[in-house]
Amino acid sequence: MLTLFAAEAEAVNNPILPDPSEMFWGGLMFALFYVLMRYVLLPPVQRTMEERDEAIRADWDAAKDAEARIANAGAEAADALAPTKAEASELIEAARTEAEAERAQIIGAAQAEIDAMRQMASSQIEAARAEAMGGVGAQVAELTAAATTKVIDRPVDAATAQGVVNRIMSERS
Amino acid sequence: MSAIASAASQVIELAVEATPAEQKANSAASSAGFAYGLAAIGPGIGIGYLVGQAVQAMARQPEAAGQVQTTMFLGIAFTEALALIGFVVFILLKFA
Amino acid sequence: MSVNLFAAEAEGGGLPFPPIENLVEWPAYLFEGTFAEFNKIALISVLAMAIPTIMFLAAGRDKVPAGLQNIVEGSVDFIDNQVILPAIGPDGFKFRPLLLSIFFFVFIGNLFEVIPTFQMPLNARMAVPLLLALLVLVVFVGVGIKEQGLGSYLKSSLFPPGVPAAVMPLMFVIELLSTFIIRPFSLAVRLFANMLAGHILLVTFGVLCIALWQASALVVILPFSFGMLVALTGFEIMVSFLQGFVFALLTAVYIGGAMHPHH
Repeated sequence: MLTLFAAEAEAVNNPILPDPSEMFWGGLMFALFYVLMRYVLLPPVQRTMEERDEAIRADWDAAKDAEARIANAGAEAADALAPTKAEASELIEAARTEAEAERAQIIGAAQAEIDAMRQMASSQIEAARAEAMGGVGAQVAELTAAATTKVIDRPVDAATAQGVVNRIMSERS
Repeated sequence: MSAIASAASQVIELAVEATPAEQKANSAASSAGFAYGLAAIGPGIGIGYLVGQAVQAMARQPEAAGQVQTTMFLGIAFTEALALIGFVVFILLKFA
Repeated sequence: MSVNLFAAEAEGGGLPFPPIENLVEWPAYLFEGTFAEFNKIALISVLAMAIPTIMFLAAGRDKVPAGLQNIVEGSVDFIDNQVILPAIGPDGFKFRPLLLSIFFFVFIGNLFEVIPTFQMPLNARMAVPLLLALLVLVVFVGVGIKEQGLGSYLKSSLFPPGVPAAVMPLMFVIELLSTFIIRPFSLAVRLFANMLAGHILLVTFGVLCIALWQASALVVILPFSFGMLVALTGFEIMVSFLQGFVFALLTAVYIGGAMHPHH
């Protein structure tokens, strides 16, 4: 019924035992394969792999070298820059002190001007106040004298009234 | 045990009315299954334990996984040989 | 009218499993009757030699590997790192051609188990495994004698150090058996039985699928049986590879043991 199984065994052999013809072909082919592998197939593949390994190692070394050179160049550049850097910082320092001095000077001048202006203003205020006080005192003394004359029915000396008013005002202010 | 006993009694029943050659073939055929089944027990347990321990070792030290794996395959190869010899005995009893 | 569940039952019942000779023995194509009978197994051994040879010859030689070159160089790397270094050590690189050819011959020969129109593993016949196992025996004994000298090789392999004198005779017998008889025997039987078992497994599910196809009602089980067949085919590809790897690894372990005693 099943035609899949092509071999129709002629004699029942033990399925475990090796067949001499199969051993012959298998052995022949394996020997051939081993010889080919040993002398023809493997050497070029191995050479390619070794060359690649070598190339990778060389590239690696080159990269390491380049890294070291970069580090060296960095150090050199830092060395070369050091005097310039010092000069620059000196310049900056000088500029700063100059600016500081100028600032101090400007501030001093402004301060002086402000002081002068304040002085002037305060003296003007003082003068105005003195003038105003003087006017007020005379009027008050006159009024006081008139009022007192009315109250006590006797003439009061204007000078006396002036003195009293001046004293009181100086006490109050 | 009763299964083995009943199988054996069947073999004996068969043997009663069989010629010596048939008798031998019958007993060989019925013991073939036992041969393989019994041969599979030990290696089954052994390989299970072996792989379990190997997985544990690899989980504890993943950096040694390659070494553990190689050793595991070696151990499996040695353990498995017993089951395979059982299989060969099965083939021999059944077909040879 | 009765429904016949198993069509095959009409012809005697059960699965029509073919006899084992039909599964592993093949008629001669050429030279029938001579010692060099050329049958399917011989054809597969020719192919197992030719396919890796063509692969190696066709692989490129570029700085940046691609395609086939990746496979070839990957396999060389695999043998170096997974077989030689752990089993022998850095002085084992001279066995690279031997281990590589064992690996490829066994692996490609096994792979024919799942290649349509062949579907027969080379190593499901005892011929090639037995030859390779005997070759390995010769190689590791030869390496031991060459590296250590005949006397000290026999001494180190038959009389393990650190064993009390009382059990020495027992150890001698055990070591003699295990080193020179059980090693090649188990090497051959492992490969042979694995591939034969896989082959019979695939045949079983193939026969089951055919029988279910012919059955009238039980055809509903066919997808499961067929799925199992597909899964087992994948499993057998893995087994093919593993057997090639294990054969090469054990060869390397035995060679390593002969090169460096007391490990």
